[in-house]
Amino acid sequence: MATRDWSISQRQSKVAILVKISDFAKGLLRQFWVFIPLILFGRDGIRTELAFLLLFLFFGSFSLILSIIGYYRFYFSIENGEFRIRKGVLKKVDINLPIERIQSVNFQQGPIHQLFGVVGVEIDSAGAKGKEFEIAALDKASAEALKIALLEERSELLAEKSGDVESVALVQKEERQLLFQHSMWDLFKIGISQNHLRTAGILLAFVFGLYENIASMLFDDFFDGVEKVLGVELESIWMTILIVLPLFLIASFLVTLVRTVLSEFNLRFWMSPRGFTLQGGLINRKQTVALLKKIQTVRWSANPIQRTMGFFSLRLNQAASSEVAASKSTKIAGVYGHQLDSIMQHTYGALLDDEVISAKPDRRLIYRRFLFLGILPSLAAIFLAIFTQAYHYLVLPALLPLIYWIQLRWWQRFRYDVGRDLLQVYRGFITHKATILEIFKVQAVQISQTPYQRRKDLASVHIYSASGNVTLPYIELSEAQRVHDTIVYRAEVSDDSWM
Amino acid sequence: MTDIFSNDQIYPDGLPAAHELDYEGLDRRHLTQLRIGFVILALVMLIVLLISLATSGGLFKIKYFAGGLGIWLVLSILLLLCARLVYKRRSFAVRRHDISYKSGVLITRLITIPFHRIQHCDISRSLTDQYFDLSKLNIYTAGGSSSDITIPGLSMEAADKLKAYILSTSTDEEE
Repeated sequence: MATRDWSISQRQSKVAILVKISDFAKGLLRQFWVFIPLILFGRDGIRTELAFLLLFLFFGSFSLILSIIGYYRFYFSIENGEFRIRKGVLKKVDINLPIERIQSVNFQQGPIHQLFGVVGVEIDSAGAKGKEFEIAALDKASAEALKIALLEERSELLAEKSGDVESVALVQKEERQLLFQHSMWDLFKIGISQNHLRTAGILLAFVFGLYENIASMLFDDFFDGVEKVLGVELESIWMTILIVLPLFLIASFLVTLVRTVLSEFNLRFWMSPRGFTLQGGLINRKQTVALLKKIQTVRWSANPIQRTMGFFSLRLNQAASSEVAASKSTKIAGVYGHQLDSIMQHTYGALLDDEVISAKPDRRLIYRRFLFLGILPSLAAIFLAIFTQAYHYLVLPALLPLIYWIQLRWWQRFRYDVGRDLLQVYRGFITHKATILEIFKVQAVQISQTPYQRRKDLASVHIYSASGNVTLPYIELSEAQRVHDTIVYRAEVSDDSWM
Repeated sequence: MTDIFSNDQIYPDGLPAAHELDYEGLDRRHLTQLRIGFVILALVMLIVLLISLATSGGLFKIKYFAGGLGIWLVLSILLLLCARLVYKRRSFAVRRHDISYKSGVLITRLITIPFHRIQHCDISRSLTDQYFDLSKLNIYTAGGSSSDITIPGLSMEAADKLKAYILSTSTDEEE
């Protein structure tokens, strides 16, 4: 590859114009999608359609012009150890990023990128806000060359600073090893094992949102049609539920399946000495990097379906550079048990084998949770039933034994293991969850006591990391103070950098 | 064991206890500041009460009027008594490597932040702070807003001194 002179100002690929327009359209769509059925099925006649057409033309030409000007105003270069971007149509911006502050260079490909064989480049740094350092589109060869140029210059700069040339050279030559790649069959199984109830909730919200916005005009037709087909009248609410519920469940199942397949398609996961790399996705092809040093907490969970299939969902939460916390975690919808083991082994190594002290919350947590989640709502339900004579509210008090049992099981599952270096919290009754964090990376520790806890000499400990918090509820006050003091001590004696 | 670290236990013995430190209270003027804040709150509540009575026509019914006013009075007195408690419960302690802050009346809290986990700290002064010549010291970590500390009711010199101390320790750590 011929070396390029990056100090000369460079332009993006022309595809950037298309990408910008599509971003703009996506943004509009996200804001105004509720009106689309109105436009398509509205019965207001030709005038509204004309108005929408005009609006569409206006926004379309507006974004086209902005995107084209934006393209000609966008330059990037590497100058004096800084990555520089000049851009802006209405407000001109000239921003510099010191190269040693760059954390990672990520590529992502949306449908348009894939069509033209280009990539979007995101340059991630500690302290940068959101998408400040992003190149909308760049041809693949240049993107790779830019990545290498940036990372090489960073290594040189860092080596100059620390004098540690050897380890830097090692990093450059680091070899990554493919840990796993999901087959189509795996993907299908992962899709099946996802939390369909959550999708159902989202779908329900979506349907209600739609219903609110376009009233009953679509659904009336739909139910009329169903009535005709079935030859029954949907007068009773129960009939409606009987017919709609299965349809609804099938829909949520399909939506989760499709969503999982789209986001996890051809998912590949690599291990390298410095961390993990993940690549996959069908429509939005995304590559993310999780550096071991930056991982603050690891969370995995397994719902009952996942457990029968031997799957886990996994999140590697990294220190977030700003408010875009969600995008800084590497999420995998499904990994097999042995893959999870290798990931944990690679992240924490021998620390996992250390001795630990296991403990759990006080038993009184069951009673408190039962009081707040069972008894008080039941009392309210009884009052409602008496005053409104709507006796179906009495279902709730009848469920009290079940609620108590759930709280009991929940408490039985709750356990935390304190080691010298790791804190591991296991909880969750239906979905098993675990959070693992390295104690020295903790940012702050808090003890809190409610009046009830004060009377019983109990306390809750909240442990804050740079990405994800952990709460140990209802433990003895002396134990809470011991945990508090120990964690603070471990964070203070450690010389390692937490990110 | 001949480890470099002698305290090899999971919970080392004899660690300095954060809850047993000498906690320093806030400036006396902060109590007055709190009280004035609560008086304003009580007045706002009174206005809301009067408006809702007037719009519902209860203003001229002695039963509603007296009842509403009675509840307001009790709440206001409780609030004013609370001010003292709020003030008393707020205190902080600085050690060589960390800062701890206690607060809360109903739910009591004690939070500790090691100095070399502090991202930055600044001083802010609200309108009433300016009137009373007080400052707030805000300490930010990477752990999000729930793990940040705001110490209100510091005299300006105390806030400046504390901030300078924190900044000096966190730069020491880096070298």
